[in-house]
Amino acid sequence: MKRTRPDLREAVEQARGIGASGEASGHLVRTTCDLVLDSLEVRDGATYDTLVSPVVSSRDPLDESLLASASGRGWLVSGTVAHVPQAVGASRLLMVVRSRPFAGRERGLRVYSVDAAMSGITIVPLTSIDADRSARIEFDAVRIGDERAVGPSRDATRAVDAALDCATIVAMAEMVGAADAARIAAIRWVSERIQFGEPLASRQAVAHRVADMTLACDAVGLLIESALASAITNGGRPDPLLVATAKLAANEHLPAVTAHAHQLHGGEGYYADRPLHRWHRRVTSLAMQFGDRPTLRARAAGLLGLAPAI
Amino acid sequence: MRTPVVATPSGRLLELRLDAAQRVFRDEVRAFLAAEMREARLHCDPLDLTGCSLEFERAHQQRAGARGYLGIAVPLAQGGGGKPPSFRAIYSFEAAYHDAPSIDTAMVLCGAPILAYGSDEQQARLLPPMIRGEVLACIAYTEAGAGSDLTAIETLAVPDGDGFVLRGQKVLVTGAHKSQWCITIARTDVEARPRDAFTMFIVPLGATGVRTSRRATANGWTLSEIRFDDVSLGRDAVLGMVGRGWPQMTAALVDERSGLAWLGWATRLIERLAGWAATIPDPIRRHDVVNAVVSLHTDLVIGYRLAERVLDAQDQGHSTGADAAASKVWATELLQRIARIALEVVGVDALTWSPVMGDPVDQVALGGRLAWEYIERIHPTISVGANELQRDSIARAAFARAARP
Repeated sequence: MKRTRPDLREAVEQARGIGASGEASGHLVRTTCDLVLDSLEVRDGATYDTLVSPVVSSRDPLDESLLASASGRGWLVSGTVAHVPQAVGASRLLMVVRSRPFAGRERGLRVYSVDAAMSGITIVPLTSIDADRSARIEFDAVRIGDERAVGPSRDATRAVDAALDCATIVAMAEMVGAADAARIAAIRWVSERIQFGEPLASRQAVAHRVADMTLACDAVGLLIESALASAITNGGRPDPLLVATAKLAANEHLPAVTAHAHQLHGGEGYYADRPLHRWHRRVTSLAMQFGDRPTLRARAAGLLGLAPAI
Repeated sequence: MRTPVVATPSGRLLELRLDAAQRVFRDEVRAFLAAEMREARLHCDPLDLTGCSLEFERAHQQRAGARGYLGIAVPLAQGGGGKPPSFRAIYSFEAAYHDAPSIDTAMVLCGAPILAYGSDEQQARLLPPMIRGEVLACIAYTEAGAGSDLTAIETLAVPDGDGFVLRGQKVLVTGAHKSQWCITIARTDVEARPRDAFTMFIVPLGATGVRTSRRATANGWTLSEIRFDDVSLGRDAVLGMVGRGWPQMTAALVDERSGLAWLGWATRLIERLAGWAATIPDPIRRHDVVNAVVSLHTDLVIGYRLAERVLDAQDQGHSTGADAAASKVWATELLQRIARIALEVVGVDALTWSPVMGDPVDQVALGGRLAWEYIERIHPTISVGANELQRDSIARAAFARAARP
């Protein structure tokens, strides 16, 4: 089976829908794996349950929380990846690891395919606020031979970086899908909920909160679209400054939208059988992945020429 | 040449999305305005909204007019450049970016209602000097008791023979003291409902019974008040149809709200802050300022995208309603955020008010400009429809969309 090139626009549209549904899904992780494999021009049809890499959240290619040291004809991998979505019950892991500098071997990011049951790998399930089956994965001197390398044996930093930029666009689409669904649910609620003899929506304080939520979802949607357009016109390599800027905007504005939706719903919205908290959890969780605000500000500052590039 | 305070030696700021023809126009305008403003600091006048002297403003507008910039989006048949509305907005962005005194031109302030409702005679008489930059004009809609709610207008135009007699007082007028004429609105039917009660007029400010006075704003420049004491107006002073003033004015107000001038100022300020950040020796303070600049840049790009959506709709002849409101709210509140943050990061130098247009030469001059900016940016969230009204309109559209299955 040949892997087909992931269609980014289609992935973005699916992600929006998944975000809106509020259902837990492995779509983002699968898409991210596909994008990484595609960036390495690996088209062998192998599939992975999850992507194990500290770089996904830190977006820092110099991140050393998981390190590969050369050992004989292979590598010894040690370290901990603090948060790996869809890791509970995973059997095949796609790993992005930073290698230590070593004579005769290129340093930088390397990508491996490993069996989750390998000795030295411990998967510790986490009680995440997001229903994303996340785990901490510990590697204790796990021996990985060169035969497990995925893609060409050279530094994969540039390829992985572009793939993660594309995946960031998909993640943002899921965020805005969730935030927009919460916004619409809030609009319907305040339109129907009668207090003091009139719908809540007739109060300007309520209407203006809705206006700000709408403005936020619109703004982030427009930034996602321009990042996506840059990826499509540039052969799958989006403008990194557009991506960082859009994700900063998403992180800044979308958690406020789902929080506002809770506020407008009042006590009723806090029940677990109501969908609001699922949107709120998902948006918050994705705000921490593919770059949180400090990471993205540093990244954008580098691209803007205001700080050393990372 | 854009600015001597180089924003980012190794990086770049994101820009407005423009097509090839728009970029050519933008570059041409940019070169023109940079050259125009090179000596601007020699022509300062803090009593004027533009910050520049009247002589400089007039001469500059005539040069801009001679190049066809002021009427760039006026249809060819009416003597303009025949370009889409986005070209007018691009000029506005660049004029604001360069602090050039050609933002509130007669065409910008009064062009839309004259193009939409002016008679052939009015258009033939008024448009050519507006397009050439040879006339200054103003709009006088607001009254002491009628700000956002223009249905409360009390100025009366009483029918008199073939014409009208105008009586009342207008406030918060931009530049009446230097204008040749104004567009105003008055009640022509005291019984009718608002939709049918008002009429728009073009009034020469030199007419008998018209008195203008200047009143200082918080930031030193002046707005005007106009008194109409039984001003006799001929039938040819009516703009559009008698009794249709209110719907006409509402439509014309909507037209001028892409918000590109606000974004032009915002862009220049963020560039200046970025350039200044690079010179801060203390690493912790620099880090703080860099973070602030990155956040403001993010918000600026949001402003660009919201404005582009309005420009695209205008170019395609669609109405822009709530999208224009969103663009206005975002851009004007961003300007306030920039001013507040800039003041904080520059420190006490930004308490010394010094409204120099053009490029500040050092930190003291930058601070002086920021102090002016801080006081100046109080009003954009109020003018051209207070942001509360804009949010009402955004919310109305959001409720209507969500109600659709």
